[in-house]
Amino acid sequence: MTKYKLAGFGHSHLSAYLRAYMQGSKAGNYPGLEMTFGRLGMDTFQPNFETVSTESAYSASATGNAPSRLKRLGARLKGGGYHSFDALDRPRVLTEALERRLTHMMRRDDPDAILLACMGNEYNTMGMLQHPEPFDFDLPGSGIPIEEGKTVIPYAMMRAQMTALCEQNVLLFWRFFNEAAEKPIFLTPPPPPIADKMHIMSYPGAFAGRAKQYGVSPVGLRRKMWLLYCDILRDVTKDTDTTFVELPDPAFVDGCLAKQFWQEDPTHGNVDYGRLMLEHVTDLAFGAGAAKGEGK
Amino acid sequence: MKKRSNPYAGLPDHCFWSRTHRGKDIGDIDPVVKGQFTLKPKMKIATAGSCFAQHIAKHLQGQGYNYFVTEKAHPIIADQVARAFGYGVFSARYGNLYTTRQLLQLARRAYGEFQPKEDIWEVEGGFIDPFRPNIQPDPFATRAEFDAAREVHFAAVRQMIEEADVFVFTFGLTEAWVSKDDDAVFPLAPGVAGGEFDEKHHGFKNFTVSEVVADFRDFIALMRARNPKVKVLMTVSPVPLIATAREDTSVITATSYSKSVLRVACEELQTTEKDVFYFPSYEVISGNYTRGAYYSGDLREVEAEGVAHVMSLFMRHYTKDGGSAPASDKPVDSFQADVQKALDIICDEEMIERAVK
Repeated sequence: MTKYKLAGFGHSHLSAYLRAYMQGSKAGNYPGLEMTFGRLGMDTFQPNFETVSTESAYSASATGNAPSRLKRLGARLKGGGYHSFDALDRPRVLTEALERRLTHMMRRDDPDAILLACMGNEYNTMGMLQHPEPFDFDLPGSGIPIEEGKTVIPYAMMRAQMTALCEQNVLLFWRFFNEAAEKPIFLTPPPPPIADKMHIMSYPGAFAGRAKQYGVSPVGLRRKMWLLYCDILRDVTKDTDTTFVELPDPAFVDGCLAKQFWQEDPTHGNVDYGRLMLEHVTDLAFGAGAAKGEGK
Repeated sequence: MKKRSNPYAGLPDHCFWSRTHRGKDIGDIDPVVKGQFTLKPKMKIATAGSCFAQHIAKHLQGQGYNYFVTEKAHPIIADQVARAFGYGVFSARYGNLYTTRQLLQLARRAYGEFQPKEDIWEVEGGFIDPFRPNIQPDPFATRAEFDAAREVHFAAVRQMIEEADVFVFTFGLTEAWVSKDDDAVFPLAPGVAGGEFDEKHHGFKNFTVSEVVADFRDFIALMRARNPKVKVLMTVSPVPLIATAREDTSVITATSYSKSVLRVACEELQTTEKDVFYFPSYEVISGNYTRGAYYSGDLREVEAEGVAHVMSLFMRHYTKDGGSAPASDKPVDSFQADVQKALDIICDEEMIERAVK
């Protein structure tokens, strides 16, 4: 029986996969799968980011000895990409130490494929809580109406804002792996929003005070934010060797995370969600049933 | 009064070419001589005009002065993204206003006094505003979005006109493309960023001194009818034309004509209009005493040192003590930072701990 090696890298949204794998492999459910995990939020991987000057990025030559993370940034800046939310207009990149460590891990573990579940809360920073100046936007093709009485932000500007957030977060990681991995990459989005405001208010975690202060945004806006986030990742990774992982139908009810997958917090999927997604990704990567040893 | 032997005897050093620059670093040369009024930190300072006016806006804001912006993006949108969509570049989202005719036209449109026949261009992907064709990276997605954005914009223009304490305008060009149907002026020739060029409907115009003066006077009259105390500061952009539409003319001579017309117009306006003043940023950058040092390699863009020289003179002559405004207690939009903190806490601590249980 073939045993496939899958390396998972990510932040808090990787936890569902980790728990599903640990439980499942302990129970003997995944004889065809061996996983390693790089939990990038842990202290040992900190800091993930550093800020650099735009001058250093622009001057990093594609053929010179400049670090590849500066060359990648320079190429993106020259292409007119958004790059910074820093008050001094400094873009950020992954640290050299992090990139070295990740490269070492990939060489050491030599996986057959890579699963990425990096960052993933970008859409929540804009959409989770009701803004003091409530807003909405039209997402073409979504069928989700605009709420009355809200400031309408044009779609193009909302997309530009979400793209800028992604470029400073999830895409920093994806661009590194896209360049360094030499293995198929499976980029997973975070779970879709949890529709039930009561659940969020009941398990607000560190949100507690803020959720009471601002309130939770309407589910329509939160859905649109998540759909837009996914579309940006899908768009950036098309025409590359990365597979953007479309979530399987059972994950959803009415466009939101199905109740059986809710974690006891506002944004994450539980171990059952992790199991659903782990098996979905391994089916995509290695063939149907591969993790369970049902493949070739 | 002591009788002078001749009209030049006893004049200050700044009146003499040889004395004004001899032995001085170019950064120490001061063609301003004297400011005409003093900016106060609470004064609402509005800007409009060609690209060079953006430097003034940015610097004033950086120094803590009240750069008056009437058309703002939603606070959820980051500054860099907002600027790419034309917010905060000038006081309202009008884009570059290269000619005084454009400025006057915008004011008239904002008050419903002029409606151009050709006021929308349909392109692939949506709609473009012919009078601010580069205001955002992509077209307005729908006609409704276009119309709504224009109404918001006109309201912002009216607010700027009615409430600014100081209006800074940078004169940019004399060449323009106009509609033969109603004399509407386009910032870019139709066909460049949208629309279609049609010789039957579009023509070239090179404004004269008298036209520039008349247009700016009409604008000031419109503004002062609603805002009698506003002070006006004029500058001329030192950036040469990127191209001339005059086929038989070198862009070098076309530039000389344009800048000369604009400079003479400013002089005439300053001497005939109350509370309208000229600030010599054009001379600071392009004066031959710099030997071209303030232009970058393309001999068009202005180097940072040049902008810094202009702004240091501006601050010296137009502010008390020539320095920054006292820090003000401006509320900071901390909503996103607040949310991010909460998400970070949830994500990095609680979830990791749960993952290992």
